[in-house]
Amino acid sequence: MWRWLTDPYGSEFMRNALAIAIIVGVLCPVVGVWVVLRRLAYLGDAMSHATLAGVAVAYLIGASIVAGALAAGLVMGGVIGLVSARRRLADDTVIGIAETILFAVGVVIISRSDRVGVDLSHYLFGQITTVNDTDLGLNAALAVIALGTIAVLHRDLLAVTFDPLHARQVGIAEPRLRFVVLVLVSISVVVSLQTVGLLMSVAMLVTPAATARLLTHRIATMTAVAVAVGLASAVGGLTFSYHLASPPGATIALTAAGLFLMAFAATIPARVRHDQPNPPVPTTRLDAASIPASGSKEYPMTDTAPTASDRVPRRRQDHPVELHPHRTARQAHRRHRERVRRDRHRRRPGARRRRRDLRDEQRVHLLHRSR
Amino acid sequence: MTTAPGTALDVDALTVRYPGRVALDNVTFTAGWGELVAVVGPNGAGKSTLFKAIAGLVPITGHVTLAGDRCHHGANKACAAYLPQRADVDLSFPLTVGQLVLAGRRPFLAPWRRPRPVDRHAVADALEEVDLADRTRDPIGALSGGQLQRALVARALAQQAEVLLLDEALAGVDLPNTTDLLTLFDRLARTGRTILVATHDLALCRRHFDRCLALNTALIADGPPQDALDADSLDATYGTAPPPRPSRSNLVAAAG
Repeated sequence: MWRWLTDPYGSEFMRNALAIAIIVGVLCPVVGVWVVLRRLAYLGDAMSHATLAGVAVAYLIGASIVAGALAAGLVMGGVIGLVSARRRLADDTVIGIAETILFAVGVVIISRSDRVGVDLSHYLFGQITTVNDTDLGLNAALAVIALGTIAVLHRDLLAVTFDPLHARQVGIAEPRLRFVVLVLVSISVVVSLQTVGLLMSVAMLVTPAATARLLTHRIATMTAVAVAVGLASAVGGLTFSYHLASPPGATIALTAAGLFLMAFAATIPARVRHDQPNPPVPTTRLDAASIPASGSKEYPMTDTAPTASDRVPRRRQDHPVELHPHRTARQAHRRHRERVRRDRHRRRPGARRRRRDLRDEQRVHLLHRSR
Repeated sequence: MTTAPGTALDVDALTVRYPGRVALDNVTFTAGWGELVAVVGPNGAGKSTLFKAIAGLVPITGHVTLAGDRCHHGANKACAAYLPQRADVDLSFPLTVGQLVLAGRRPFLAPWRRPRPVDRHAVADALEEVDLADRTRDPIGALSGGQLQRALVARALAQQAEVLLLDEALAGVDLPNTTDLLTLFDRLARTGRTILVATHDLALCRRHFDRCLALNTALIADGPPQDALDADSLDATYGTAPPPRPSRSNLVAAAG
């Protein structure tokens, strides 16, 4: 078994392939989490197609392929941003047009090129075994930049993705962040260009993150699971392709798809259970007569002025039944741990200083109010 | 223009135009600290637009003055918190209640910094105040409608918002949860926060709010429910007759 795993990596070019597979297996799922949550799968697909134009132009003028692909991705993002700002066309329509234009430009340039070693299928399906040290360094640098950006901005990304209105209110520059996401997608497409090829780069972007989405409910665990799935598919797919003598890019994509299907099958019962409504909560705290049925539409309403006894009881002790009893021992335990954690936090050395900080902040705030 | 110290919110000649129509027409009112105000009106009357305009989320003409500051376009927008309708919240989003409330700390916490103890305390206290302290680590999908509203209120508290704008906060919330929410609103109002609630439930307005704004593009009535919701103003608010005081911009929009 160990030999089966290590055998493929005896040669230099396979070790390089393994390294780039690991880079892709970490970067793409992390970016993919945001692609899945922001529903940008189609944008990712389109970005990958558009990079062909960049690759072709880079070849034509002898520039770096990675730089060309990155530039094409940014052009694509800019075009989408500009055109969809005029609100008559939906985003996906604009993406479809821009994608096909850039892809067609790439195909035309490459097919007319007479330079040796330019082969369309290299870019369509990947060329992981031709990765050299320069490519490796460049891609690693891009990956570090992208992962660093996400590490710094993840809380803002979360806020903007969940509730863009609130994000704008608390001072997050939403358009700028949307552009950052475009750049991140562009970077991960470029990095995966050599591994799985541009036709299948969206596989590494979307599939591991989607698998994690099925299995988790928290953003941190979702990211961790996505990276695990991504690494398993990239490294596993590469190893499979060596033993099966199959194209590496397609094998990686298929491995990711296999893991997704397994997660999908495993979560079917859970999802069915989840869709059922919660059991009814006992409510014996208030007689229904004290508030009329909501949504009574008859008007003009002939209603007597409210009296004091019409008012809803205000004190907590009027509510004898606890609304949400602990349903399971695990929940009860978790809540207990939560309380213990919080209380310990308050007794830790420096608690007084922290409370003072809080008080000061509130005082500043009160000052502002009285102004 | 200076505002009286007792005024939390001063809306002056507020007009909002969307392409092709006027959503809010020359709305003027003020609200003091700790006032609890219901905003009623038919669908499309501009309730949400009014709230978004106060929170600085749509371009306006006129003035919105919050806490004595003209903060509509300033850095201090966060002191009015717009709480979205439940329908606008994606409950399947992988977010815990604690993370949701922590998002309100953004004005005080740079995005790259880890939450400091002061932030964690603010989050814990906000959740304590809305009785959700034991749900901090639960996913938001596990919350009921009323609890989600309370969590959103907690986010506004963590943000130290002074003016809370709740859009359809009581829609689709069952009886005990409605009671809980109204109790919470009362409690918050007593601590000086000004709360505006958009609602369709006129009976609830009459029973539990001291002040009521009837809105249909223009402000139709403003006052205690028994006055603001009398037959005439309800006719003007909900009737099929064209809204009173058609302004020039209204006519232009209709002609165009």
